[in-house]
Amino acid sequence: MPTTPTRLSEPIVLADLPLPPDVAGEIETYCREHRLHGRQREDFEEEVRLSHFFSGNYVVAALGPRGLEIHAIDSEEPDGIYELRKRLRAEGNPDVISLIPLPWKDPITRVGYSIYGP
Amino acid sequence: MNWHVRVGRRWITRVMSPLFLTRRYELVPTFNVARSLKALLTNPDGLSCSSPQIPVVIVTPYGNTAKLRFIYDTGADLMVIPVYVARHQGIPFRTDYPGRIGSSLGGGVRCYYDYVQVRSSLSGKTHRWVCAFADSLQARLILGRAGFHDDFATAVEGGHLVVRYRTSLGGFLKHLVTKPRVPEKWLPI
Repeated sequence: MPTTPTRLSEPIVLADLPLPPDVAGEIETYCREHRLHGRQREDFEEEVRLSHFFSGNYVVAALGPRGLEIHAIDSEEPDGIYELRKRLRAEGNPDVISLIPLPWKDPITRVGYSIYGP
Repeated sequence: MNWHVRVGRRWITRVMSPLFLTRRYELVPTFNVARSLKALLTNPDGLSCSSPQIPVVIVTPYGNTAKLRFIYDTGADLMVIPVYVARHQGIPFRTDYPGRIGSSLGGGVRCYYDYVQVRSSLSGKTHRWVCAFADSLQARLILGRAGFHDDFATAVEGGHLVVRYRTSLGGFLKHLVTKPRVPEKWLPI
């Protein structure tokens, strides 16, 4: 999990990040139990990957042909997002989304997410 | 929507069913894996408590926009954007209206209240909602009740958060012919 602000020179394709065998096994079991196939399974996997690698981080991603592409992690550069959007738009991909993924497995009971302490 | 029809010399009012534009967001899977909870449930996976999350487009100066995914929290009074996210995204806010934002279990951080403009493809309008800009790295992107509940209706149905907007016949027909370019989960309200 990244701890320092990073603006990536090359985007990370989320689907390419290898999951540890135990997490991959949990995905397999969940999808089998809930009969998730095709698009539904891809969406579930995408969310688990987002959570596993980036939960608690501020992530800027673009919607590429293979799903989410991560372009910046915890970046605070004020001009960074503007330049990124400009570049992606020029490349024909205007869809940039920023998000802070939640942990998909959390041992703490939450009663609101306004402030998300440890 | 009401129709007024003339029958002979009398006008009759007919009530037409309201039309709603709808967007469905699959709940994002999350599990509470507290050890005691797993023991109580005798389930190693813990308790499934999936969370509703919604992409929202915020209008920034000079006609630019920022698309952010918020956690929809009916327990939150209003929208929350962490200060560091606002600065990075170029979402302006004033520091003239400071306050505190807290959780239901106590504790709190400094925040600044201001308005944000939300552009909705569902309503075809720009909405103006109050937002708390939270000065904390622990704050998350939260979509609370104020503003959002005034303009949209929501429900959780069959593992999805459903967001509805009441519209006219023209708006309904226009929406039908518009083909979204991105998967529904990333489509902003």
